[in-house]
This record gives sequence, structure tokens and C-alpha cells, in this order.
Amino acid sequence: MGDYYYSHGADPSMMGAVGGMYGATMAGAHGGMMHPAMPVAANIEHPPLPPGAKLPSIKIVDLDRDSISFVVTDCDLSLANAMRRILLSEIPTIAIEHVFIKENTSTLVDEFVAHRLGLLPIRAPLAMIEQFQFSWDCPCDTSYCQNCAVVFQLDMKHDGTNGNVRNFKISPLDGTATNDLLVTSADLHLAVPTDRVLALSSGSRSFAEDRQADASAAVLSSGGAPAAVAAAADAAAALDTKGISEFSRARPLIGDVIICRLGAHQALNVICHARKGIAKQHAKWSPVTAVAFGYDPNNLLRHTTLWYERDPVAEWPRTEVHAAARAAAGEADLDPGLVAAGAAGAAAGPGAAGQHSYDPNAEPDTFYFRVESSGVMRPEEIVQSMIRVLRKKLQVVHDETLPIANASA
Amino acid sequence: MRGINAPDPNSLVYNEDNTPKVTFHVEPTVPNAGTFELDREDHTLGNLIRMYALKDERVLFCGYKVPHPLEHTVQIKIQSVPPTASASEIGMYSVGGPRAAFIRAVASARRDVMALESSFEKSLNDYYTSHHTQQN
Repeated sequence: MGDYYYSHGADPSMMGAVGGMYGATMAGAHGGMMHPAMPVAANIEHPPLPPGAKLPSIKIVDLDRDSISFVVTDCDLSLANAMRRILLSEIPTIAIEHVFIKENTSTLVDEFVAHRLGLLPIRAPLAMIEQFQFSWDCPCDTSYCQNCAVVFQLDMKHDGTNGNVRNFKISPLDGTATNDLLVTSADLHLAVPTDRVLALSSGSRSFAEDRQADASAAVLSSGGAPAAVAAAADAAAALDTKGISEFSRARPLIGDVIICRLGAHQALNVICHARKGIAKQHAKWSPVTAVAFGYDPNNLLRHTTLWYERDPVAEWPRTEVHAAARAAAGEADLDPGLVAAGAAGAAAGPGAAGQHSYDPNAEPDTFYFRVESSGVMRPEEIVQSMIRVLRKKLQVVHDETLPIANASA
Repeated sequence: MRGINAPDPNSLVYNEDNTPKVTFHVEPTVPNAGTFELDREDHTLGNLIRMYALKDERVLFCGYKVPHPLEHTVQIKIQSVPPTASASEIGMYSVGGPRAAFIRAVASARRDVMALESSFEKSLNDYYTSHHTQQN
């Protein structure tokens, strides 16, 4: 998938948004040191780092279309675990939440169809999701607006009319259709032009297939507000000068997910509202299919006992990310001495000493992650989003605690 | 159509009643101690703040609990050394007392998360640079 990678340079618009979102806090903060390695929102005051301690860091080991592997070093177990938990349950994405059924004469009941629609993966770039509103946060007076809902419509009828003649074969005997019509996610179309979505997403990177949507972008924009259309056109022009012709926006990830099957003269006509949500509400909002998390591949900390028949090193699988990280650093995949120590520890169980001395007070500080994307976000976007979610959580708690702390002083 | 006992899943994230995010109760029987309650938070922040607080030598005790699985809240109990001076004199993150210890833990965690953020951006740029053959 050579065309997947976007030539990634500094993205000032994104950095600016981040700084603006969190930068205006802690005005009038007192003394203390500012850490030098803080380009983002640098006006935030940080507590001094304890002597000897290091700031945690991330190194990407592998990145492809579906997954990202990275190593976090100088990190506390609680922080690594918080990252893992947020990856699993708190990354905002977009999924169909409300389904309004105008007509459903398929063999599936309304609830069944609505459920299937809800589970469709909807691709949306991170920049759009971050600007998009949760329905309860949106100030709109109506039940939905273009800032908090993406509206899709699906109107299919299996009788050769309605502009849809796909696969309609008529029996010469009785004039009825002889085949079924598969209604798929490709039949779901954006119903209301979401100019904000178009404009916002224009600065983001996206898959090459997002360009396929370009043809319909003009049609979509024609129904939007003039200013927004102009903005979208400007954004498109700006992107064109950079050689990136794309309008990425919320849309079904893949076109061949079957929603239902229509027999002759059956119809399905629905309006869907896709909303922003997190996997804590419903798993359909999860952008990950798996998060692998591990530390201490040689079991030097004796946090576990490995069951084995003859040789635990031979019988237990290696930590993939660990091996890849060592390979990337030009080291041998396995360090025999270390592995022997780990194996001895594994054999003897917790508290036993291998060739290496066992430190009962040692704590894990290196963590191996592999995040597998469902496809609705690119894997590196998921990790970016995870870090921002975690930072925002801490920021909110910090800011809400300030009055309490100041009241006591 | 959900069961009578099950709360609305959206209430995990959506604060309908405008309950404050952070509340603090002084522990009446223990000196320099109190409980912070974080609304709509869970083990993710509970354990994180607890561990950062425990790294602080001015913190004598810190523990957290999620009181009930259907109540989306986490309680963090913290005891510290007595306050030494006021925030205006020596800086907010240097004061003693449970409130300052708590906010110090939160700010330390935030410091590390922000370090991770810039580190990831850098690592991503490095990765794209070193894998330019695969770029578009």
C-alpha cells in the first residue's frame, strides 16, 4: 500500500489548535521550573522533575496501514496502563447512533437494521473528530446540527426504479425479480452537506481512497452555505497547490458491508445520524480491534511464573514489539544471557534469583504496545488522540482542583 | 429498552446534572488528609494520580477506590505532611497539605503526558522521514 503514506511534515495548524486548546490555563502561576522539552502549550507550568527521574518518551517501532507498534520508556506502570485503557475505551470516533426508518419492507425488523447500521465503521479524520461536538456538548438548539451529526441517507428499492437498476433481473415467466438486491454500506450517502466537516477535514492527511470522494464533493458543497463552500473550495485549492487533492470526511470505511438483502419490490429507506462517541458508551465507537500491552519480556521482575514442559524460552512466544525494537536498534533478537536469566527466573518462580541479581524493588519502566486499528482512524491518529484525551482529562481535573487548592492557601 | 437497573451508557461521559468534576472532603479524624472525588472518571485516572502522589515524599498515604460499579466516580484519599508555607510564598506545587499534594500529582502526570505527546510527534516525523520510500 505505497500510496497510503502521506508525506508528513510539520503540521502547524494542528499544533496551533492543540496549543490554543490548553494554552490559556494557569494564568498567574507561581514559581517552579518550566521543562525545556515542552513545545506544545509551553506556557503551562510543570512541577519540577524529581532528581534522577526522566521524562517518558515514545519510539515508534513499526507503522503500517492497520497497526502501530511503539515502545514507551521511562514510564510508570500506572501511566502505561492509563494509555492502554484509553486506547480501548475513550478515543472519540463517529458512528451511526440514530436511525429514522421511513420504509422498511425487507425481511429484517427495524431494530435489526438499525443495529447493523450502527455497527458500520465510519471513517473520519482525527482533525474532524476533534472539532466535531459530542451531541450533549453541542450548543445547537435543534436536536442535531452539522457540528454534532453527520446525516446519511439510504434509499433502496428492488424494483428497477428509483434510479436503481442494479442487478435487477426479471423472470420471463411471471415478471418478478429473480434475484436479491444486496444493500451495502456503499448505498449510504451523505444527506446533508456538512460544510464544516469538509472545511475542517481539509487540513488532515487521509487515505488515497478519500480522493474518490472528490467527485461528489462539489455536489455536496453546492447545497451548503456560500461562505462554507468558498472556504471548502479555498481549502481544496490550497491543498492542490501542495499536490494533495483530497476531501476527507466522515463516510463508511468500506463499501461492501452488507446491511440487508432485498427481495423483489422490497424497499429500505432510512435516515441515519452519525454521532461522536466513545467506546465506553458502545463498542461501535472503538477505533481499535486490539491493543497489545507488555513489559519485562524476560520476566526479570518475576511478575509472573511461566508454565513450561522443558524450556520456557523455547516454548513461550517472544514479545513481538520487543524483538522488533531490538532489531531496529541493530541488536540481536535475543540476548542469550538475559533470556537465560529470565528463563531461570521463570522456572524458579517469583522471588528466585537467576544469573542476574534479582531486585525485588525494581519497577517496570519500558512498555511495548501494538495497536491495531479497525480502519476508522489511522493507527498513528489513534495514538495521537489517546495522548490528547489523557492530557485533556488531567487538564480538566487540574483546572477544577485549582479553586479548591487556592481556597486552602 | 434497557433493564431497570442499568444506567444510561451515555451517563458514563455525559454529566446531565452538572455535578462538579472535582469535590474535596476533609477527613475529620486524620490530620492533613482528605478525599477527592472525581466525577465521571475511573481507574484510569484513579490509579494514575495515586501512583504519582505516592512518588511524592510529602505524601504519607494515598489510595483510591471506585465505590460502586454503577456510580461513575472515583475517590482518591490522600494524606500529606502539614502545610509549610502559603502558595504565594513558595509556589503552588511546593506547598504541603493534601490539596497541594493532589494537584502536584495531577500536574506531574500531565507533565509526563505532555512529554509523551511531543515525543510521539517527533518519533512520528522521524519514522516518516526514515521510511520516505513508502510515502505518497
